Amino acid sequence: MKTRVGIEKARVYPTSLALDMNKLCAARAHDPADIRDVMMIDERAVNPPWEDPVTMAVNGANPMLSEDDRKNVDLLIVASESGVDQEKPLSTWVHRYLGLSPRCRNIEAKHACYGGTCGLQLAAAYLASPSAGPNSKALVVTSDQSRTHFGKPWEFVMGAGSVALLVSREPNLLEIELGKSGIYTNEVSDLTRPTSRVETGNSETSLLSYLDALENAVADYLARVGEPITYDYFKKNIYHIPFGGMTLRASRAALKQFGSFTKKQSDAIWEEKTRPSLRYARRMGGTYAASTFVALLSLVDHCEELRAGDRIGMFSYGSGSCAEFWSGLLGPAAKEVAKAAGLGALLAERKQISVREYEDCERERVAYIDSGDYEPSTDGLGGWYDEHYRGKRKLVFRGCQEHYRQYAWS
Amino acid sequence: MTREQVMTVVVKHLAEAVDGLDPANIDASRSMKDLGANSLDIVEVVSSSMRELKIKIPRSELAKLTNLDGLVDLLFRTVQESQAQAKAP
Repeated sequence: MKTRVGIEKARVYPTSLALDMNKLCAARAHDPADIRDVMMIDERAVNPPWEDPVTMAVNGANPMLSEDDRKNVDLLIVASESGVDQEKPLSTWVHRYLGLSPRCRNIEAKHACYGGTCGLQLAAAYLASPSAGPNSKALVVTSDQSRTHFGKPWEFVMGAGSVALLVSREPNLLEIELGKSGIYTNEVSDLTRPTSRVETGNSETSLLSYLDALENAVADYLARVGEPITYDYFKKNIYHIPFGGMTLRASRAALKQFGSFTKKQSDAIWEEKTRPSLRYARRMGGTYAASTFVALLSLVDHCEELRAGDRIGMFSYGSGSCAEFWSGLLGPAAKEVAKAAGLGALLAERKQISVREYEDCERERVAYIDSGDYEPSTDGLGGWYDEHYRGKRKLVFRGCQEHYRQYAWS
Repeated sequence: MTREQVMTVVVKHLAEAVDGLDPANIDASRSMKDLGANSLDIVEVVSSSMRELKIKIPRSELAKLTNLDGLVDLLFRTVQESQAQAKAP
């Protein structure tokens, strides 16, 4: 009998601060309609100074894991392009603060926005293999934060967040169709992070590379399926979200490989199959490797018509580059899993901040990021630390002492 | 393939991207932005044109373009080079 593997549970950590794009547009004298209607972004997530990629990863996964999960996870992959150390992997801190078993492989994986999807596919392949024990589970976590880009045209597509995926042989949220995967690798320096402060490149090159990779990955997927299919093979389609507007272009490009559609038909298909996946992403901004999974929770939470067994097309693109077009079947408890993840409530409880507060948070991180001795301030943001963190048992970053990173429960 | 055929491909994709643009009435001396395309539309037009013409152009070349004629010249030159390479022994 074929092994069923996939995502048993998922949970997103959308940070605890939100910046309204209308405020940022006003501050930068930019047309808000462009950001709202073309780029399709309403808010972005912002990290207070006491959050970093480790705390986001832990605070995303921790509430989701049962004691049995912690005992049975024997593979931990943390995917990020925002690593805090060149040698020590994020996964070691995440492993420690999640209280996972010592008998657990752990690794930090890097492939821009593709790292999470690659981690998920590798974890699924592990669980489907004889290497895994009868109770083995895997945990794949992505955790990312943008760098600082005040006043640049691309400042509007920044963001932060993490997603945790518990991968097992009980794919209650999404069963991965093993082997139904179109893959395309092509070396390109479209976007890079050459230092701890710089995030650079050319956005047009990156978007062209995204579309090129998508077309090639879809062609490979079609060859893998091995029988003629139409776009209706998929009940819904998720495309990597550097910003929501890109999914419309991606959907049009993918559709060209399934037949001939007018622009009106093509846009109506995007409206039905992809637009509902953007609801949460619109409120987080760029979430890098988390974006397709944030989109999956959005679909499940907002599409009443979805049923167990419905096929979802998933496309991930990571700069550098690698892309994968794969598919999964909705699991029997998808709606319950998404409800338990509670992303809508987590987004609603964030503190709305001013442009000044956002700039202060970013400036503080830029100032301390390479410093070996510092302590992030917890007294700003109108007492937000005391209100939202103190006594709530969230992992917080306490700073560095002689370059040793300090973490504690709030 | 002639330059005119390359122009037809580009104009077809531009008219698809920009609502209300009449393909029979496009002034190729203007930039795509002036013709109503936003930056995402331009990426889509270039990507779709390259795919249909089965060619790839480095970004450094694309960055130098100022108008539609320039893009068509560049695409046409690349098509010719690609055809010459295919014919080479």
